[in-house]
Amino acid sequence: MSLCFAGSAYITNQGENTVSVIDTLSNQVINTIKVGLKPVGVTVSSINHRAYISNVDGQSVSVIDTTKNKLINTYPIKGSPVGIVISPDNKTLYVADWTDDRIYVLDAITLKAQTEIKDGKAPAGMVISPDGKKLYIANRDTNDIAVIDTTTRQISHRIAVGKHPFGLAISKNGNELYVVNVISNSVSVINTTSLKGEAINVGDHPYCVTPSKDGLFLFVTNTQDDSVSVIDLAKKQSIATIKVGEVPEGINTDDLTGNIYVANWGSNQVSVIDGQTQKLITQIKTGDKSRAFGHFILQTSPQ
Amino acid sequence: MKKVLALIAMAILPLTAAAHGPSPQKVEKEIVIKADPAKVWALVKDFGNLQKWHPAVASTTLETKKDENGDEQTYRTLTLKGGGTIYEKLRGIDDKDMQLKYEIVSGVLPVADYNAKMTVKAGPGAGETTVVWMARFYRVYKLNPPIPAGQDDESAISAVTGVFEAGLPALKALAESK
Repeated sequence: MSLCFAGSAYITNQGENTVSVIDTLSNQVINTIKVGLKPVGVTVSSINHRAYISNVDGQSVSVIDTTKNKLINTYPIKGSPVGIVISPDNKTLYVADWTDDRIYVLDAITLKAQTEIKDGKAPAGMVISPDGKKLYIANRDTNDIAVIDTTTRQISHRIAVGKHPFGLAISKNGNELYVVNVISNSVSVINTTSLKGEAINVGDHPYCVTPSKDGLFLFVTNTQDDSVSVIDLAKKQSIATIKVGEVPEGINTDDLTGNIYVANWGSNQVSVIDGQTQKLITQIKTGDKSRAFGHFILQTSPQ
Repeated sequence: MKKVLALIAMAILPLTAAAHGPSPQKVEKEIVIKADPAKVWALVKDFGNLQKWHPAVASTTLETKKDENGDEQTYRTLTLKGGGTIYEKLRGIDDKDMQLKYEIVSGVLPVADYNAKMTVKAGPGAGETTVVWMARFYRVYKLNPPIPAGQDDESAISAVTGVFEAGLPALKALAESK
């Protein structure tokens, strides 16, 4: 008996208030799910079998049952929810309110609010260390990363980065944090122990970043170049540029295949890049204004 | 045309590029022109002469100066027939892909963080050219609802749509003239 796995990408479509679900083996859209108004952010949970969607104009979070790909419920959230991330133990959900500069800490099952964290101006992307101890928040308008101790829920450090940090990613071992600086056209690679780092130039108006499956490269969406930059982490420089769809935003690596998935806001599609050859494989039509801001690929085992 | 001028004249709100709401808007329009792509591209890339084809623009003033990073950049000031100005920064002229990119720095349109591109492509038919004009922008009001009148998504989309819909047929008419 062989155990096979599958991957599903949950792509938020801002313009039509839906989520497209892509099967990463067939690269087909297998479901389209109605969510709240203007969905942007997404985070997935393999333990809870959930995808959590932030609806910025709906001022809500929609929760999808990933075993049936059906909406469970939409929960109201004050403010403008954009960034969203779940803790590694899948118990706690963090939602960033872009407008009122606070992070909601919610129970990931009941979505009951536990507390709020105030950190910086216009909190955007968030990631959590693999051990669950640290939450990193990109504060777009204060040009820094807040490091939150998830036990005390207090800020332990602030890391100055480039102008307008937006998307974040972290290495599998948690040793490196990757920060996309939108106005500086760069990605900061930060050592999470020393909190020091350096910036690597990419394309025009970059938004989001994902490490390759082997962790040796970074793939970065350049929204105003319609491209993805490939950074060689050993060389600390961009080594290639891959043309994708228009205005690429969210980007994730499928741990199953190593392929890279890119949501194109401008052309309503997802581009798939081969993680090995670093070439475009295919483009998948999704919904109007695809964004997929966050961790949107779920690895699942058969039921 | 009248509608565009009225829209632009009405939109007296200042544009600030400092911050924006989280939901970007898009307007995309295209037109097929019976003219050679090179001829159309020559008109589109002429950043300092928008008044040649856009009916809402009275004059264009070109300027080169250093931006906040110390790099030499090209800017233009559009003086509108309906009153008011729009100050724009050239982001790139790509002759290979026939693509012009620019952004609005400040001006009378009720938008924020506006960037746009005009792409010129051969086809669909022989001797034809397609021009695609696409803009990505945010509404003026950056906070949570209620949103003041004239600063919402609809006002921003309608103003940009007006500019594009007045401009493209006029570009076509000029490019198709002998």
